[in-house]
Amino acid sequence: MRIQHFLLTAILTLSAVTANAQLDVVRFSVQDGISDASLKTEIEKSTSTLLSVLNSTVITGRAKVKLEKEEESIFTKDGRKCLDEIWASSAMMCPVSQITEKCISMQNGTVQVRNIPITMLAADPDNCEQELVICYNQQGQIDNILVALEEHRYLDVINAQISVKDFHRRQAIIDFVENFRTAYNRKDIDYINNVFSDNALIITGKVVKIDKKKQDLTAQSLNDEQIQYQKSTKEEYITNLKKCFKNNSYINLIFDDIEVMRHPKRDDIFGVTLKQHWNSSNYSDVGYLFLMINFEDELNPSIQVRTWQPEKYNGKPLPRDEVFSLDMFSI
Amino acid sequence: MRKLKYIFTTIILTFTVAVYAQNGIEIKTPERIARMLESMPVSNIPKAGQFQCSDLSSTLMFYTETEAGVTIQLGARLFSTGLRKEYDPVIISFIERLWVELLLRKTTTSQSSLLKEYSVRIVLGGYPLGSGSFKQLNQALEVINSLASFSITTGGNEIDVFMRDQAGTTLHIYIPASRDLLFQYDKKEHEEHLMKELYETKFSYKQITELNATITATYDDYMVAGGDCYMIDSLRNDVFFKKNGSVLWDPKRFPEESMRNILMSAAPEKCVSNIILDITPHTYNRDIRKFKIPLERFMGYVQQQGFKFYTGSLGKNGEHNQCLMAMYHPVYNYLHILSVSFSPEQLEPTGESIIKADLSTFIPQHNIKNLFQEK
Repeated sequence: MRIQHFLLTAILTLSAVTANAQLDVVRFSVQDGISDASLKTEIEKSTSTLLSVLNSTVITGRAKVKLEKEEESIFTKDGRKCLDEIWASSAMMCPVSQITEKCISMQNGTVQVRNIPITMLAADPDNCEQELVICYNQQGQIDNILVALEEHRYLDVINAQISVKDFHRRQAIIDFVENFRTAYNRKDIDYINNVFSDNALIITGKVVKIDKKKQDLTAQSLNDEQIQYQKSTKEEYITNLKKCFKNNSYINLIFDDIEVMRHPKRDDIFGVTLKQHWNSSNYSDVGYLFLMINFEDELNPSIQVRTWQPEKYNGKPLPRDEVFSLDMFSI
Repeated sequence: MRKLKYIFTTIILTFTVAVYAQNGIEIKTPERIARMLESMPVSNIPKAGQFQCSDLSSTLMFYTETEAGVTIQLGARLFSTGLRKEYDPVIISFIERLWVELLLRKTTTSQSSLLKEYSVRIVLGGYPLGSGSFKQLNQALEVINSLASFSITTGGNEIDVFMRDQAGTTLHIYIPASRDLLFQYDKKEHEEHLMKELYETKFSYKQITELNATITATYDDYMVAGGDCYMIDSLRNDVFFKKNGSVLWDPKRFPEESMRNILMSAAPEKCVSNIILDITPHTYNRDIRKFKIPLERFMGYVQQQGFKFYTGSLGKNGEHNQCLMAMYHPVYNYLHILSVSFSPEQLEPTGESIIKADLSTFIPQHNIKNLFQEK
């Protein structure tokens, strides 16, 4: 369904110059939830008009949503203001041409329709597919539009059972990881050399294309890509990193989605899994980084394991259970 | 030849003027700014803080220097002086610096790629740069140059800078609420600036007498006011009061509560004088050594920085009580953590009292998905 949305969006967007007038048209039908036939017709008309106008505005690249004078009556004053405010934050379009949805009658006689698929053009790729909630007055005019955005808030869950001491230790790990990241951006090879344990285990995943011609029939039916893992010593890793630093005038590592796990038996061993965005003068990629950190010496923590895996292969995200984590290593 | 000139000018600006501060800190031009200076297509950046760079844009460029002549900021002069004073200078400076970085990229595709790297979205009339009617970065200048309204919304994981021009065209700049992106300094540089500011600060502790908190617990000897916590239930913005409504200050019977009242800026000024913090900094730069600072100076400084304060107990270590203060910055999404170890007597000294403390700084909070992951 998501792929379908993208395809339709791409078709709609790319056809801007030679726009086929029919591409922007969206037909909305009410499935049930409303008994007043004329209200049903008005809601279908106003919703179809709204979504079609959004599409034609994007196709023509106009900065503002403009309706014909007679079409403006699909909105109340508040409804129109709402649309303009959402549009100011992001242009949007409906990626499907036919929608059938239920109406929800509210206690005050107004009506709501939910689950209208929409593509927000200004949102980042992970959040561009959204759903609209449209509210209508008793005449079927659009009175309010809401984007059912999923809030991305990590700090909402308050952990009741965790001690301040544990919080302190885990924030020290975040601090250590941030210093580690800073060292790459500063190309500070001495710092990196110091934080890796001398006998650190370093594993790097690499996506390789399978030569299907050389495979038997069973193998040919499998995917085109697989991840090959390469083990290296600290010395090899540092040598390669020195070359990388030399070849790139600019490195900007970004860490995201950091998860910290303590070893079930060793209080001073922690596993950190995170998403690494590597940006540099010559190359960029995204992957999962896992670090096993020994905090036995709190002032000088050391990395005992470092693994890197690509975020995607075979066009799909790496399954979560394939991402390296603390329980995959014995100590 | 011209290129050589740029490099020469840049080298002079960037590297010859370095200030060697005390305690292992060398203040020099932030690496990000140095990189931008290296790329500027202007042969002679004048001594004055503003200059024209016609190869890039007609917009005036500026740079800012410390008293010692170290360039610490570079940007395009996009906003009026009045607006710069009214709104968060860090966010305004970020946009002005970003603008130069984008202008240095020349093509819209390359600019969009930089925005993607930074996770910044510039949205004109609903369209992100490079789509719909928003073909070129310069179009956004039309809104910036005839501003009718301007606002900055902060407090979440994303900062929304909103602008509308006289014609009603809107411009949003969405910026991840991340210290590392917003400031020109990386963690090492920022820590060095912080330490330098702490050595030099003249601020002094001030008791906060008006508290907007509710009573959350009542015990035999005291009451607790607060109601907010940070990440865990036991790290709180609690202030402790006696039953008669005065702030609890009884180090012998309630050492932790008394210390936490100081760290929440609730204790009277007299309770803070004579106490010296002997701080071990946990910083990227290992050359930054331990230093001593009067507690009233340290608290005076952090009171000015826009933090939310939370305190908690780290338990006892022999005869010493241990408390933690988390200083969370809600706009730039980072944390400083100070932990102190003290005996009750040290809070009521007859003379000078030295309390050991550990300080970790600029711990990012925006990129944490799960700090307490369980299998």
